[in-house]
Amino acid sequence: MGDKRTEFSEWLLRHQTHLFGYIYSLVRDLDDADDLFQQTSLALWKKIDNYDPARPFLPWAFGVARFEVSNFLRSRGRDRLYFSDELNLLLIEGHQELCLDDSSERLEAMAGCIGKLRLRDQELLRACYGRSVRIAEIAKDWGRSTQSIHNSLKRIRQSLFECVRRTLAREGLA
Amino acid sequence: MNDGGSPDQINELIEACCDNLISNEELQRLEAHLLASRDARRLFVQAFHAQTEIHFAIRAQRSADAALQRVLADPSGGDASTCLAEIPPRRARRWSRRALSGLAAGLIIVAVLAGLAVRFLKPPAAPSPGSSPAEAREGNVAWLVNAQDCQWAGTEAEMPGRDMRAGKLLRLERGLAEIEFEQGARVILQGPAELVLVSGSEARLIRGSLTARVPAPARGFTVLSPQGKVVDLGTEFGLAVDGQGATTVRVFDGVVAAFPLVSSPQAKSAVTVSQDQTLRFEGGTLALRTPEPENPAVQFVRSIELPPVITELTHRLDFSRTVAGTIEDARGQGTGLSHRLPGTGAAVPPRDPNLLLDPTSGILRLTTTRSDLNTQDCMPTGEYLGFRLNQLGLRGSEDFEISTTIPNIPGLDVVGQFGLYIGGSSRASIRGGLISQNRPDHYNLFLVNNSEGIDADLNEVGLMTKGDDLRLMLRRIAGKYSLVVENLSRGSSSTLTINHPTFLDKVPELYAGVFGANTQSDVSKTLTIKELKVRLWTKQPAPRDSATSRHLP
Repeated sequence: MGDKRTEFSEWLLRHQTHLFGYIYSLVRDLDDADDLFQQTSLALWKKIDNYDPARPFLPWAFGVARFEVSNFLRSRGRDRLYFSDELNLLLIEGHQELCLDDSSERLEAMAGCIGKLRLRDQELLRACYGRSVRIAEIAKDWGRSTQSIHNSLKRIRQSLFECVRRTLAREGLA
Repeated sequence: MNDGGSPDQINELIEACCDNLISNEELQRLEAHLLASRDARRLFVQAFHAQTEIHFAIRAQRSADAALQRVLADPSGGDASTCLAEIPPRRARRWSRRALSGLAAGLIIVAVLAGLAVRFLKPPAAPSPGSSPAEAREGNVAWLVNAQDCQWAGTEAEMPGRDMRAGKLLRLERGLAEIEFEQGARVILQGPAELVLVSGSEARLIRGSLTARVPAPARGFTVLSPQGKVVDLGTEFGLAVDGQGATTVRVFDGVVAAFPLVSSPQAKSAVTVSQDQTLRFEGGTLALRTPEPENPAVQFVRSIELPPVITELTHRLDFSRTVAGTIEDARGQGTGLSHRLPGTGAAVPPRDPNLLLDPTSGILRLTTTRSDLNTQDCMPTGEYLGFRLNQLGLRGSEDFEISTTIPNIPGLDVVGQFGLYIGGSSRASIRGGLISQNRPDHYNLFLVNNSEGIDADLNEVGLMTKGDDLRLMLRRIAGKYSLVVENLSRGSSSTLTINHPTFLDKVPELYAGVFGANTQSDVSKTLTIKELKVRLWTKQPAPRDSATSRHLP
């Protein structure tokens, strides 16, 4: 039992960003994605005896996540537009094809790159990504237009992706 | 956003989706693209994966910050790993909110948090002495952010501008140029000097002098010289290389590590140079002096200062009221703008249909028209509006500046442009601002002379995008014209200069104002102008203690 727990936590740790990324791309809200990620993690643990370790972990986890997300979307009704189930299935393929390295290495690179940003940009990222908040609220707090904040975020994201790519390339990981 | 499925357009939809700014109609359009195209799905998946990584890194950073604080505050000097296992951050609270219980939940929390926090608490990697110069070749690694009286050697392509990639050699013959590196270090290069951009955190000084101001996030910024290299440890320092390659390092604040390239084995390790110390290394010898020699061989310039002003006259329109007797908007309200650039706007009706004053919001809306000063195309309908400077106190060679704030800039069709002008007529002016590019909604900054109705000396740099908030300033300081563009969205600014427009020196009356032109298309867009201000510095005797300011009638 103890080994299984260790194995499970290692799998989850290794694939956490893939799994979270998939859920987040379907619900597009950080707090909802947080909740669903946790629900999915618990569901995976409960079903761990059904999992065949000889097969890849991620497709199995995506399947469970899709079920959790579907339940969530049904409970939400139609107050907000979500993607069709057909697209959600196609996106699983997309996420599986992503073929990224160990998520912890990538996260370490990302954290390093965030640390290299200007302080003002770091503050904006913390405001926007620290919790689920509407960009319009941030714009109001910062005394700027929504489009202006959006433009800043686009620019910051672009520089972060480049920085992560370069960092991993330098370390021979990309 | 337009219909269609170019990668740029799909990317725009994905970006809007990432920031939860996508409308239902756009979301449906995005879904159609995603269903139809595997490439689009790949872009989408990558974007959300990256969003997740930022999100994880930000939250984990908070956890790491909290953990670090605990470790530092722990008087027992306890084991760091023990402290990390106890962190109860947001995520743990959220788990409990869901009333999750049992071993599995606890197991996952500890695994996720401990794994992330331990990684993020690792000290930053030390700068690699042999890092590859080619590592950032795909993009620019630095930007020219300020300049004063600069004269650059070489062709236009060799000057700083669009191409600031790794490997770029900058040859400054005279003047001061301030360069911001990708990772935040700011360098003031003093001409004559030659500098090679090595990466976003590294440069090579071949000759001349520079000062570097390195904020904490950019710590590790490295300057190579023929005699070794200097690695910043969070500071401000100066570096000079003379004609023989001898190198002088002067630390103004903080500490740097200098690595002289000398043959003696005992000198291989780093030399620490602290505040107010000067290190000179040349031909295998080192000399560390404190304090600085009385007559230092090198005078370092630590900031680019504007020439002092004497008396300032200001004329400011905030568009909060109508002004009788001035150019009228579509509703007949006096806008406060008093003059058009002579040679423009002759066919515009007295109530200008392209202007709309909104005193409640304090803005003037200017809708661009088809016109182009270059070749004098459609001048009668051109919108070049502002003031006659002689009416505001200009008598001769005084310094002055016109400035405006334009929030949330619209996207103009290609070569569409807006900004500020100074000139005697449509056939003799200098103008600058933003000029649109082939890529939709993207602009470059530009400054250009126009003599005899034809553009000359065009300087284009930088990149701006639709939606940014801008402040533009077109100045004549010490007789030299320059354009400063502050991007309020990015928190950055750029200064452009070009060959001096000698033809303007002979113009008896100068006009200055704001313009908007869709030069080669019939697609008009509306600019929101929040303020238009002229500042004029007279050379009259001023009080001794400080500059004074008074408002023009």
